[in-house]
Amino acid sequence: MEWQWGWPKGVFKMIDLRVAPKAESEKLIRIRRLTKTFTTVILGAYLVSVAGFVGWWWYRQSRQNFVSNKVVRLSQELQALAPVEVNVRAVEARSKLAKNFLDARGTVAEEAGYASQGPIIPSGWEYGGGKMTAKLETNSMEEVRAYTEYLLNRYANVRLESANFSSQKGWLTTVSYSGRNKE
Amino acid sequence: MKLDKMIWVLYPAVVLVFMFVTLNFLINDAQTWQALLGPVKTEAGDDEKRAQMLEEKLASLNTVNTEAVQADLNFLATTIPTSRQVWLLIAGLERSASESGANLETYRGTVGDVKEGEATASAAVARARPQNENLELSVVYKVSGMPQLVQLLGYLEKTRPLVKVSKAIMDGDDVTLTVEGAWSPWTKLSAEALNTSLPEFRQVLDEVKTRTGDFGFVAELGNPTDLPVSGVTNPF
Repeated sequence: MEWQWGWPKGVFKMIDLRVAPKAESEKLIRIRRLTKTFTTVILGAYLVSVAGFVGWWWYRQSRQNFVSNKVVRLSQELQALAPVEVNVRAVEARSKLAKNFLDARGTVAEEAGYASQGPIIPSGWEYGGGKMTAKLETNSMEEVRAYTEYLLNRYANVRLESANFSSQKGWLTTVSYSGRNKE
Repeated sequence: MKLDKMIWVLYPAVVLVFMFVTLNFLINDAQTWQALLGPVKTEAGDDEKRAQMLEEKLASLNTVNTEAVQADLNFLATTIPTSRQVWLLIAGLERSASESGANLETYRGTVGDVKEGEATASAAVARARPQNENLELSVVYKVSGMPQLVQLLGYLEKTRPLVKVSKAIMDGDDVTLTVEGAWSPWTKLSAEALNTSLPEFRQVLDEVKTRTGDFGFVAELGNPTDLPVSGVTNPF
């Protein structure tokens, strides 16, 4: 009888305790490959983006320097012309003042002229507060009526304020008018 | 062997770390993004629009005829004086009276009653008035009728410095006018105004010149001494 390790041979079968290498599953291989590929693509895209970013940044820096130098140069040149600019702005401001004054002052001479060119010449006349008043000395009310019709050709609001008669002076009437008719 | 098997994990991890570190290095705050995406601005806040504005302004100023502008200023200073020159207004009233044949009787304003022929300069300068007050006179004329009043008002309206008749009362031969003389001090320009583009001034100036072209001077002012060049501090 043969003996092995103190026991008859064959009593113990050999148990291989070594860990046998497992066969890697195809799924795992696929995952590894996908991961590497995906990572490489991401890295490539990232590097391209960074290159573009750096390039854009460099361009912006050079534009910024260019604009800065340009503004400094122009400001220096404008400084020398500051007195001229001040005068130009003063002319502009004063011209506007003059125009506004001319626009706002009304046409009193023209209004007086129209009042004096009617069928009768007023003996008194008032202008102010957006209203005009003509004082008429006439022999008859017909003349007053003719004058008010003359005024109505130009003004929207014509009103006979008062009418007094005296044997010495005849009719003394006051006519107020305002509001030019729209042409 | 082990490293070879772990590389599929280490590789993305390294790449992620690399991306994170470099991004952090390149973009450290939101302002950098804004600066990169917005218009080009210098550290002083200037941008290309401002540079273009300055360029256009410089080109405009180089074409300005300084002598013509000076003459325009003189013209405008006589059209609207820079101070309350009551004697210019009175001279205008007198000129209108003589041109129309009316008689100037009295005039009265903030400087007190002044009779024709007795006016003195000391009465005008004795009382200092705030610069924002109107220059207004109440004037009494003697006219021979409505036609002469029309002539008088016509001459008053064609006088330089400009005047405005705000009220007129004719009663028989007596005419009482409330006359306001135009005046305005020079406006001091701010440094901010000088940083804006040049305004268009010729159109309005030409219109004023056209409307007042036939207006008569009441007095020669000579060279006004208070033109803005001497009065404005160079803001640069």
